[in-house]
Amino acid sequence: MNNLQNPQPDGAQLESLALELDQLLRQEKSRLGYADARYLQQLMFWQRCAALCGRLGMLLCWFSWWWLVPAVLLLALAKILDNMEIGHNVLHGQYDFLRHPRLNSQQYEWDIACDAKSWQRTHNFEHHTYTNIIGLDRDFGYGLLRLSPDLRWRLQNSWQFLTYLILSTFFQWGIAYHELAAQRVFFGRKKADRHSQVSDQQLKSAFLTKARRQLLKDYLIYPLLCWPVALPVLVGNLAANLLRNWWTATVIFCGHFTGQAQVFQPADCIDESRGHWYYRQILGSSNFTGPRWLHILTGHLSCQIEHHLFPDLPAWRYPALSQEVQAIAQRHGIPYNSGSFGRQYLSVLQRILRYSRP
Amino acid sequence: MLFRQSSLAGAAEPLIQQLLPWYNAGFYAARVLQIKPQAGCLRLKLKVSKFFPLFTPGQHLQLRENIRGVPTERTFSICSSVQQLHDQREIELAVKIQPQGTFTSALSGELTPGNYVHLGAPTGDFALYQGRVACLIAAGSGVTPLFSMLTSLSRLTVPLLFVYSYRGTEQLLFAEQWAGLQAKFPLLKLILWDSATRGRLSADRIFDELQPELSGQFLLCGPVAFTQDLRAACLARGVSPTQIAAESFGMIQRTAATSQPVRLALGRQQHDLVGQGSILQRAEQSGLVLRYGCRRGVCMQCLCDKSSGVVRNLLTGELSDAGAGRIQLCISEAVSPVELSSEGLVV
Repeated sequence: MNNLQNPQPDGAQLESLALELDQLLRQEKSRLGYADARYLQQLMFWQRCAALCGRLGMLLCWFSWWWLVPAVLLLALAKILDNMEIGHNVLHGQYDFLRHPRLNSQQYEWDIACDAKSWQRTHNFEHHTYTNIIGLDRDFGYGLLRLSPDLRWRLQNSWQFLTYLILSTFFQWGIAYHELAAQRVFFGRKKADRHSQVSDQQLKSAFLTKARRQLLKDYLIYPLLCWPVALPVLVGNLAANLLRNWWTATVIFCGHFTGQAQVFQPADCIDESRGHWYYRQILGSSNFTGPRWLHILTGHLSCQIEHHLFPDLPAWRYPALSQEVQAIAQRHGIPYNSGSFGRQYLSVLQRILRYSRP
Repeated sequence: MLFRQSSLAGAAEPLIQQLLPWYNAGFYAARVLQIKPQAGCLRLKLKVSKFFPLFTPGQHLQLRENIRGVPTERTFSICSSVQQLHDQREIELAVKIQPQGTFTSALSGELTPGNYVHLGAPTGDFALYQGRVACLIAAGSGVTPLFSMLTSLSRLTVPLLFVYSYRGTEQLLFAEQWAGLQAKFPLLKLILWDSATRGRLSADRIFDELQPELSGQFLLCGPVAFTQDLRAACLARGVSPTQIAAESFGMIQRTAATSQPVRLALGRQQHDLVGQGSILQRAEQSGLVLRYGCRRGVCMQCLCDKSSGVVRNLLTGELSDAGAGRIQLCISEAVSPVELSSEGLVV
């Protein structure tokens, strides 16, 4: 049962949907080449420039602390580009066809507390395979927020708006701890139905290694390297991480928790056809519109629907595809959830508040 | 620690590439000085930097070129001498043009002098021991590593038999250099065997007509069938296996057969997969337990390194490149013999 009134296409309609979307995927895949290599190269260049200018800018705090403002903004920009447009998309394997020795889904490690391999298991596999299926997609509410009446109301949901604000503030740690929380690695009793291909020991070790590395880098080594201005550098790194956390959380919440984003039951998806999988991805995701720079800063997760349909297609291609996807959805009577950034975000906040009550 | 990259060069690569677009961390950039077709091959003369390592004649390297923006690599033997690299920082390759090959046909279409290509470090243990009697036998473009060995010799103190079989004078590689080499080395017995006029160079004819020294070293290079026949003939005449070194080449043939041999190396263990279907299914039918996720080509959990072979993407029907690459096992079906390796796939 869904929380909203869904159109229920029959088998033939779903097959036709799969055919059209597969055709679109094939057409776009045949175009991969120079443009993608060029885009990634340019993106990496601007990311490195922003990181370098941000880090060097912090040294200018020797003269005045006011330099911290542009420096933090640049470093936050570098981290956002690294996490969203580069890290997220590279780890999805979108650029694997370029066979870059470092920018590929097996080798890339991003500037965030979450270990890339752990993220690939929870995000690439669980979230993208079981998108918005209650009980199977652990990204739906992150086990902390009640965003659908299909989930039982508990007392802690009363203050879930506050939980949301805290989660946004510590978002990178939430993501890093996500798989460990589900496997009850540090706390809680093991659930019988939870199976993992990775042992608790491996999870623990990967989490602690990455966390230590990130903490040492941002809060010890960089400040010490810039010794006379160690304090502004430490504060600057903290602020840049905070800005990145708020931004990524906001964008990601707009992807699946908007007012119209729909949820599914495990029973709906047994022996699921490719057509039904596509159908579920469209209904469970939501887009927002905006200028090109906004798309880039979101890692093109502003085109969440296209991303969920074609997760391994280079993300910069999504905006151009969105019209065709919208037309296909319309032809099959499937609602295409899109709106301005402000409107979609407002509906997320409303949804968090609405389901905080029984 | 500070850069999250394994090397500083890798972290700085995006910045360096703005100034030096040909820069590619982990590869040696080489400028194309000359590109000319000869005997069904593209002869490439490349200028390399002083960082390019010296090679042992007979070694091969990876040539990396962007084909429609996608870096693609193939392995070729170096055909120039060590002295040429040392003195002029130049190396030469002779790339056999395969009419159906995506790489070589794109290479002839896209490369012009002044362009940059990328080279891997020279590797391989196909080498001539100097000071020992030797017999070098090549067929077709297999002459390239042997030619490098010959031109790298500064002097010849023991007899050396060099046999090169080609089909018709228009297929003779390095045509302009053979006479000079014969004049330079009096102990060299050079046999340029035109199989169009003299008939196929069989193992029997080599041993009966040319009578190579059986106690010497045998270096063989050519198509697979050619080197296999010769090797068997050498062994039959009492040549010890340690005296024989062979390299062979051949295009990977795509076939319609459903079950192609797939060899998967997991760490040090090699597994030959049985069964039918996607490579993931075949691995499971072969009793292996591999890491996987969605089984529908979405999550990249079953990504695996392919060193050679063509696979079909079961979702898009697209055929992969024949060289090295990464594939998702759950949606890949082998359409030629495939070699795979992975460290992290074992559960």
